Amino acid sequence: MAPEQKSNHEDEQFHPRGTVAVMILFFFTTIALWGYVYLIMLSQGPTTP
Amino acid sequence: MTAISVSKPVAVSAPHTLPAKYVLTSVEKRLVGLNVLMATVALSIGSLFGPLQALEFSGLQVNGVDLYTWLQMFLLKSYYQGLTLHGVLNALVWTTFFIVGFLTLCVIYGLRRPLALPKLNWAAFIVMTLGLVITAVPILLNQASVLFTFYPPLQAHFTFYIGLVLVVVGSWMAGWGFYVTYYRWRKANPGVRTPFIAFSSLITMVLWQIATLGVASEILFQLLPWSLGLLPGVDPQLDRTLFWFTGHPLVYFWLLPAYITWYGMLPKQAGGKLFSDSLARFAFWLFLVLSTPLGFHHQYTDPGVPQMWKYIHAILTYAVAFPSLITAFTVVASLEYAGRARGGKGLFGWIRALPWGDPSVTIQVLSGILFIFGGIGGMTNSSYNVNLVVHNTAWVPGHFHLTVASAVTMSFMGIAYWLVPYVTGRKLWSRKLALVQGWTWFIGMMIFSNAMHTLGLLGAPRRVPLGIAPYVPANWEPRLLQTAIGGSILFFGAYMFIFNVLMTALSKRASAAEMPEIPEAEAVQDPQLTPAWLDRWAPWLTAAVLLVVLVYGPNLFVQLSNMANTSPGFNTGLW
Repeated sequence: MAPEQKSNHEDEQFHPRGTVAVMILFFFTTIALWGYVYLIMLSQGPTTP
Repeated sequence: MTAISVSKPVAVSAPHTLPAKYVLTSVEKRLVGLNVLMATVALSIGSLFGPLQALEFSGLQVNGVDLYTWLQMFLLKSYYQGLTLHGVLNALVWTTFFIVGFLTLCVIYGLRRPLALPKLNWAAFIVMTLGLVITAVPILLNQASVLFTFYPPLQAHFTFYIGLVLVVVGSWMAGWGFYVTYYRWRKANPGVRTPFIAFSSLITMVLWQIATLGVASEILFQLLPWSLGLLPGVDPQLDRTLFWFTGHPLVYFWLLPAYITWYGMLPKQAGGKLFSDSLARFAFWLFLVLSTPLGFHHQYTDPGVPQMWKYIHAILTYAVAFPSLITAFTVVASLEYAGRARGGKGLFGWIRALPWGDPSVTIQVLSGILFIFGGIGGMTNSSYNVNLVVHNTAWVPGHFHLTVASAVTMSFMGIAYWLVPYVTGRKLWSRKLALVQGWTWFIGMMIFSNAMHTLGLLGAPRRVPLGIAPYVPANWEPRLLQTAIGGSILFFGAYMFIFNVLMTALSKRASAAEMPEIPEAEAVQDPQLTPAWLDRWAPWLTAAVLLVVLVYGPNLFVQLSNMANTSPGFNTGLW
C-alpha cells in the first residue's frame, strides 16, 4: 500500500518496535565502546615519569 | 510491549489557513542558490587540504614526497596554513553559508509566504560574502594561519577578524529577516502552530544569535584591537572562555539544520511521516535552552576555570544528550513508519524496505549511522577523566569529523541533491554517482575516524605534522596509514559531490514534471494537537537566557575582574 493511502487507523496502530530495538542496541553499543576506551587506556599501562 | 498510540486528529482550535504549497520565486531561489554556491565553493577549496593533512600523517613527507614544499609554488607555505584553510573553509564557511541558504528556504516555504524584508536578506548575503573574501585574503597570504579556533596568543592580521565579524553579522541579518517574516505570519495566523520546518529554522537562528555573543565579544573587545595595536596584549584565558561560549553551541548551529531535514523532510522522502511533531518541537526547545551553557567542557584542562564550574558544565553537557536521544528515537521511528509503509516486516525488515536507491535518503541515513558513533564519542570524551587523556589529541578531530563532517556535511549533501535541482530548475546530473558518493564518504569516514579516535587514545597529538615528528612510536604507524587511506577516500567523496552539483547546474533545464518538490513531511498527528506551550517563545527564551547568565555569569564576572591583557601576540611568522 502506498504511504499516502495509509489510514488514520493504521497510524494509530503503529508501534515502533524496531525503533525500540535500535535504541537498545544503541545503549549496549555505547557501553561497549565506552568500556573499550578504558581497555585501551589500561593497555597503555601507568604513566611513567 | 505497550503500544504507542497516536491520537486521531479532532476539531482544531484554529483554522488551517496555510496554502498546501508555495513555489519560491526565481529571486528567492537565486538567494538560496547563491548561498549554497558559496558554500560549495568553500567546500571545494577546503577539501583540497584534507588529504594533505591525512597523507602527511602517513609519513609521506619523510619518504621523499614533501607535499608542502611542492605546494609552496601555489602559495601554500606550511602545514598550518593548509590546516587553517581546511578548518575555516569547511567548518565555518561551508556550514554557515549552506545553513543560511537552507534556513531561508525553510522559512519561506514553511510559512508559505515571501520574506518580509527581502532586501535585508540580500544585504545579509552580500555582507557574508564580503566577510568571506576579507577573511580569505590574509589566510591565503599566510598572515592568518591561526587555525579555525584562532586561539590567542596566535595572532592573525586584523583583516581576518574583520572578515569573520562580517560573516557573523551577515548571518545575524539573515536571522532578523526571518524574525520579521515570522512576526507578520504570526499576526496573520493567530493560534496556528508554526509549521515545523520554519519553527525549527527560527530556533536554530536564535540559538546562533545567543551563542555568537561570546565570539563577537572576543573579537570586538580583544582580538581586533589587539591585532590593530590598540591593546598591548590579550587575556588568553578569558578569550578561550568567550570562544567556547560560542564554540559548542556552534556545533548545534551546524547540527540543527541536519535535524530539520531528519525530522521535517527525510520522513517524506522515505515515504512516511514524522512520528511525533510534539517530540520534535520539544527537542528543539531543549537544544535552545541547553546547548550554550556548557562550554567549559572544552576547558577541563584550563587552570583558570574553577572545578565547580567545570562540574556544572559537565552535568549540562550530559543534559543535552537528552534531546539528542529524543531526536534519535523520533527520527528512527519516522523511518520505521516509512519502512513499514513500504512493506517492511519484522523487527528490522523496515530498514531494508527504505528507498536505498534514493541518494538523498541514503546519504542522510548514512550520516545518521555515523552520528551514532559521533554521539557515543561525544558522551565519552565529555567525562572528565577520559577528557584529560584525549584532550588535544587526534581523538578530537576524529570526533569532530563524525559530527560536522558526517552528520552535518552528509545531511547537507543529501539536501543539496534535491535543493540544487529545485533552485536551478535542472535535473540531478547523476543519481548513480550521488549514491556512490554517499557510500564512498561513509566508508572513508569509518576508516578515518576510527583511526583518529584510536590514535588519540594512544596519545597522538592533534594539529601536529606527525609525518616529520621524531617521536612517533610503532603502535601509531598502522593508524596513521589508516588515516591517510580514509582521508584520501573522503577527498574523492567530496569531489564526487562537487562534480555532480556542478554538472547539475550546467546541464539543460528540466521539464516541470522532472522538477523535484520540497519534501516537507507531514506529522502522524495533526500539529494543531501539539500542546500550545511547545509553540510559545517567551518561556523557552527566558529559560535559555537565564541559564546562560547563571552558569556563565559568575565566572565571567571573576575573569573580567581579573582580566590581564598581558599576552603579546605570536604572529604567523612562526610558520
